[in-house]
Amino acid sequence: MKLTIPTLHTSEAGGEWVTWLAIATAVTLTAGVGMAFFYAPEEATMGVVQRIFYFHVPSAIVTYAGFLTCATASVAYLVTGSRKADVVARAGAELGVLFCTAVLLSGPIWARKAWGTWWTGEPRLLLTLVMCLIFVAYLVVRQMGGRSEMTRRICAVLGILGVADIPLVRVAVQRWRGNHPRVLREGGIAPEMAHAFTVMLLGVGLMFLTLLLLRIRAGLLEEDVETWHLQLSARRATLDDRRS
Amino acid sequence: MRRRRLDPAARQRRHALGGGLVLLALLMAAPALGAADGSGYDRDALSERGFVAVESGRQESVPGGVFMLAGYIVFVGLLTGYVARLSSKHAAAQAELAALRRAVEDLDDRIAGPRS
Repeated sequence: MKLTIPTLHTSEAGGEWVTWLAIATAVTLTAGVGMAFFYAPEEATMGVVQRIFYFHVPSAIVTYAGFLTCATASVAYLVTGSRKADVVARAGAELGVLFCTAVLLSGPIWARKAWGTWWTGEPRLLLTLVMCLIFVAYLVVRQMGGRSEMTRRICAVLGILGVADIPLVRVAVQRWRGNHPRVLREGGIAPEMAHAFTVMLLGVGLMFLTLLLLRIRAGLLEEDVETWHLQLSARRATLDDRRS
Repeated sequence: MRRRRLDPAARQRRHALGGGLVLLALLMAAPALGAADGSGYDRDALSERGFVAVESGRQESVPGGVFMLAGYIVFVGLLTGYVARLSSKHAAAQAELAALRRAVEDLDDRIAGPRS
């Protein structure tokens, strides 16, 4: 009798949704970039470089989404011990770091033109850098520590602690007189710019969702590979026992 | 002298560590770059809090097109690189899973063989 091997059976996570999401992402992003370049007017003070805003801010927003996904799934993992939750946490952290890197690289390019410097000791910049480094540490620990239960637990705690930085990043500009513009909450943005921004936010959000589903799918496949490795070892041991 | 060959797991760990260190160095270098180039810092520009659309045909005095283009290239490059990495990871995991399935089925047959 052949034994069945328990797998997560989730290499198809997201199913057809991923394809449709990818198509919607491509369409929305193309429209968003087109609007950012040809529909939204040029900004009076900063000029053309302000168009970085259309992907810089949406990237920052989905960075929060990624890290919050990681923290929520980490809590679920610590409570239930579910491997799926662990995979989701890792996917969230990875995407958070990806988009946070985009923010941290595009921000200085914008700042060089707008503020006259690549980097300044502005609270939001420093706190975002700290947040990114916390989740880089999370990913390094995951990669170095393998798939042991201890590594998963340590990373879950790190993911929950790391997300505590988000409220600080959010209030940094108001509390500590940061340089960042506050155009979205205080209405300081031309209507055409707001339209282009909304479409880009939707596009980047859809891209985040698509990549999250694909990363979860890859992560679950890796977990299945691990399970099959264990089963292979068990069968080899059985065969060796029979021979001896 | 022959170089010692690392097993795949150790090689993967080494790559992860190397990648992490490079990213860390890049992120840490950003403040240093800013500190080294503080000459053009204009405090007056900081008083602006909102974005205002240009009303006439006024052009900016310092061209920022290259900076903007660099920003978009960084964004697209990062995402393309990530998608490529994810795709290769997915393909590698699928191939490994298929190989493992075959190996397990083969062992199952060998285990069941002598009894039947």
